[in-house]
Amino acid sequence: MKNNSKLKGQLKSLIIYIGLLLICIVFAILNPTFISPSNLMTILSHMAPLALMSFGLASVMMAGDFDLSLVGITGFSAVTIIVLANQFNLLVGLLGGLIVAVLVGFLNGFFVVKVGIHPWLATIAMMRMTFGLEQILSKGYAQNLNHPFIYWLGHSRIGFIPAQTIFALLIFGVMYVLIQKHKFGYHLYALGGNRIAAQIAGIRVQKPRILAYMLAGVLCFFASICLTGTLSGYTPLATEKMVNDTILAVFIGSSVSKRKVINIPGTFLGVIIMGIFSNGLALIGVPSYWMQLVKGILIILVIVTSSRSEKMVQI
Amino acid sequence: MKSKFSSMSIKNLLLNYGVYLAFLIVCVAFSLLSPAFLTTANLLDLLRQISIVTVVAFGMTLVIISGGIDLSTGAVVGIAGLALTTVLEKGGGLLVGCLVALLFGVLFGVINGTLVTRANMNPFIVTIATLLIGNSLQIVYTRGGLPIYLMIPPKNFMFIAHGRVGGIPVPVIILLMIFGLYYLLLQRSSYGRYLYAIGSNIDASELSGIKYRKIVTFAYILSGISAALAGIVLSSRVMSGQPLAGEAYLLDAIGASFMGTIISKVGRPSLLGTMFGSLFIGVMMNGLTLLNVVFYWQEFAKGFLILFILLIWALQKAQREVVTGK
Amino acid sequence: MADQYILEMKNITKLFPGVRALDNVDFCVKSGEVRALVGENGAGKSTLIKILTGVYKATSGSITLMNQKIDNPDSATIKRMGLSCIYQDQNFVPYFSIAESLFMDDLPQKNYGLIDQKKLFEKAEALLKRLNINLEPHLLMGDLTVSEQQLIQIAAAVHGKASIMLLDEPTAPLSSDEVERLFQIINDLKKDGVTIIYISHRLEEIFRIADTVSVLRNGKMIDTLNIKETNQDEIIKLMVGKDVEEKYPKTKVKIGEEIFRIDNYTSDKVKNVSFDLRKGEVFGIYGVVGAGKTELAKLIFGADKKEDGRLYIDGQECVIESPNAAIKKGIAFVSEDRRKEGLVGDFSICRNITLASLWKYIKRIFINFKRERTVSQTYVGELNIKTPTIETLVRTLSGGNQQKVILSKWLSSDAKIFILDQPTIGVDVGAKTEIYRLIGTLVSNGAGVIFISSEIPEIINLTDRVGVMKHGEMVKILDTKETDPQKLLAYALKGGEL
Repeated sequence: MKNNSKLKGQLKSLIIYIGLLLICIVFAILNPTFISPSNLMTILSHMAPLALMSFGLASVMMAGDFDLSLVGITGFSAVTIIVLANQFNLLVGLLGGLIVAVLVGFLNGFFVVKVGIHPWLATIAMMRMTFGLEQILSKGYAQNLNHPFIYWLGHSRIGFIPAQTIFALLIFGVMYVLIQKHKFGYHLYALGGNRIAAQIAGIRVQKPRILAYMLAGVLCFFASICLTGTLSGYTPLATEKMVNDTILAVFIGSSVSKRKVINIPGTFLGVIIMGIFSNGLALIGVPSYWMQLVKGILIILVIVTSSRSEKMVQI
Repeated sequence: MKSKFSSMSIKNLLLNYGVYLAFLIVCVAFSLLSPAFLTTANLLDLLRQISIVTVVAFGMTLVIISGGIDLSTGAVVGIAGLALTTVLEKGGGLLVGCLVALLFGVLFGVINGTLVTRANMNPFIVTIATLLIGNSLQIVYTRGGLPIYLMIPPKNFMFIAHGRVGGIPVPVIILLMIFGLYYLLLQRSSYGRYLYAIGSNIDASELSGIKYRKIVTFAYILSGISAALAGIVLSSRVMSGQPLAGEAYLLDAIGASFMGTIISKVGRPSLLGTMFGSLFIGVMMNGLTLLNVVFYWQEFAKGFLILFILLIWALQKAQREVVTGK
Repeated sequence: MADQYILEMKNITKLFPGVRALDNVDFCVKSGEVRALVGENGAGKSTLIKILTGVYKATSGSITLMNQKIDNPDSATIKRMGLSCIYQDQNFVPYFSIAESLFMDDLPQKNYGLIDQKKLFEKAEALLKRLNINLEPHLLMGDLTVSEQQLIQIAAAVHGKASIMLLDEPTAPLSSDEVERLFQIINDLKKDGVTIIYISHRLEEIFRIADTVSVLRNGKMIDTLNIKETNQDEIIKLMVGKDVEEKYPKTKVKIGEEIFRIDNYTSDKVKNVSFDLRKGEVFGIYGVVGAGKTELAKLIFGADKKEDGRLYIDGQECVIESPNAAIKKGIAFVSEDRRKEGLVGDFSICRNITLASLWKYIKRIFINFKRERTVSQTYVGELNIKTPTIETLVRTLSGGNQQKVILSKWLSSDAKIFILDQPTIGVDVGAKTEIYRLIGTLVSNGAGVIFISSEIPEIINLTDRVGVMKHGEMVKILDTKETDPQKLLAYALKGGEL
């Protein structure tokens, strides 16, 4: 009996991989370009910014908070980098981008954790503000950045893997250790799981959460570098459509994990799934807007299957 | 009570009356900077401009009173416009079109309300999910976002947004009517009493025999209807069905409702407060437009203003909890 | 060494608005002893503990822990000083493994703050083995049973270098096997020289493990006894006290026919409760904390889900599935938690009074404000609610006046069956007497009152009959005239057979 259910559990956890494989096969049959090396590389390189932002969202959400402004931070940081790099040099640009990203992350943490504004409300307002800022800085026009390093990051390969994918994998490694193996991640999990229990165990309630928001800011900065590389510049509001994708990637990540918690490898898998889906659907000729509907329904499904409480929830 | 008054510091005064002060400063500044600001024509135009967002905000206020929030209004505005223009395009009458549009509002309200009150899900999550679905439905329906233009728009369709009755723009009349209706509902009927009770203490309300599930679901339905109504006016204003047209109104509606909460003494959302909040945001935007400030500065200003409103709201809440010793 | 005080709480006084919860209490524990703390509900046990753990701040008094004076205790500080607490509540992270939960405060680490997984599981395994807990350390907390979760929480408190452990009703969710295991753990800890403060309602447990026992009553420390020199009856006597300080006006009413009866009422927390209520009768329900009194009240009122049982009003069977239905049948419920379940704090007195019967004030479709105010004004006068106007917000009122507002709410709803759950909790003496008088008025007007209390004097002096509850069951129904405090407490603690 027990063995049987164990087997079932293992099958259940495998189902998503089997499903993914099947979908890939279907895509490949319908359009053989799908499995061409160059297309696979495209999928990989497009994934990097989304993956980085999703890692940031995952670390904030683990602690029981939320951040809608990450796409805004990425755009704001990208424009800052470009404007400063064109005015001075790349180093100043990168430094500026990092500073604004961390600063906005800190402000999010401050408003949510210290002041006590609901995370959705605070970060939705922050999202609008950062979108405003990126347009103010860019005056609403697409910005170009010609710099060998940025170009290299966006367009060249190491071996056969795109440079920015390698970069994202490196960050993945760091995040994996930090969240899954380090005390910091453990504290975030404890705070997200039961804030009172964490407090009783002597874990600080505010600091790790604010740090998570700032970490998310740093990750957005990394994402903005990758994006600048791919686009050789930046088009204002290019990240606006990625909000749903980050949320969905994190949710997929938690639903494939054994403990049903948000985690970094799962989030990465979620990003890969999203990448394969949008690329494959595009290749077999499905209009991109259908993808949006699929995502919306997926989010609802994931949300509906998540936790419940006894009485109507109020804010 | 009296000792509380005498100990009221400047900080408290600012927390409680700072919003009025800010509004006054903004108005004076704009009338000094732009002579066009303080003219009857502009003020009437201002009212017309804010009518759509205010109607959305009124519905949102009802939901906020119940202790929830309705983000899906952003999608309903667009869907209602698309529904109406589709009916007109297919040769249906205006009345049928409006009814279909309003029905979509009811549908969203029922779904939101049911998920919140029966499945006990967080209103934020529920309504952001219905917002996303609603938005993608619009994109799919319009094949990637192509607006629905009407070749020969019916005259009475134009009248909704552009007509005047006795010199007053029709949208302003709609705004006032909704205000009156909801005001009576909230202040004079048992429904409003129950809604406020639920938002203030849901346990005590249930134990006093209030059927909170029905009451709250109805608030979500009214919010959906208000958003649909706003969508009808909007589509008439632009003479077309624009997908995702409601996105821009969502944040303003939230901001207006929370501003209303701030100016109330006990931190209670109210229609009058929402009206004031909406006016504040409207004046800001109107003034900035008159001063020829680029639109993206306006977006930043709006985000900033709303964060500022939320900040004061949170500080007031913290202060109230200190006073009541929670 | 043995005679040194490890914890000294001196002259602790705690005032809540209108109530003296603790009155100059001294509570000093010697190093290495097992000290039991007993007292009736409301005696001040939990207040004392909450002051120690920093949840409340004492009005006056001093705390010295391990010869260090602490001014503003908080849970993290006292934990670092070596005092760990086990509460009744479920305080764990459901998706953590047992190993992670055991060492939440003290994770084995490698360099740079990395967690040493291998060592973590080794340590967890060793600890579980030492405590004789037969569970795999990689299991998730959320997958365990309630008693297993409690055991792990106890184990988590045990592993550290704690020199004092405070256990607040730790055996409540445990089976008898597990209670034995817990006692084994406590005995082992004792051998290691750990001081233990043990709070429990189960006197038999206290006699098995404690060295000394302190008795609190009405916020005063009555006595601390050596367990070998006392017995259960003496402790019960100390807990109840002899002197009845307050006055209990009991109105003589002729008891009429049956108006309310439940048969085999059962939920997940209430088991097979049957009793009846007659016209003009005050039926008391007595039991210690966790006996299921409030749960029974909410079940009758339709606020909790019923699994089985029937309910009759005036001899006719009724189905009550929501508070709304209960109110329509003429039942009223005054919750023990006034702020959370009784009042809408941001509403005025007037609006609170009419909340449960608003339909009466509807003229066409609108509320008739004038009538609403007139009626509220009448109740404010009749019940002597002290307030400037009926438009005052209820959260600004004192406890007694708040309770009177709630009672007015139910009076105006034409209820004839009143369930009053600890109506005098947190109410000052004067208002208490008024509430007792009001109960008299209610029954003389032909209503029936179900009066829930864990204060024995109230039960003895105000009720006609009393049902005693333990573990969700009604173990005994007694005629109040034929019982005494000792007997009631004995039933509540020991169950049906004496």
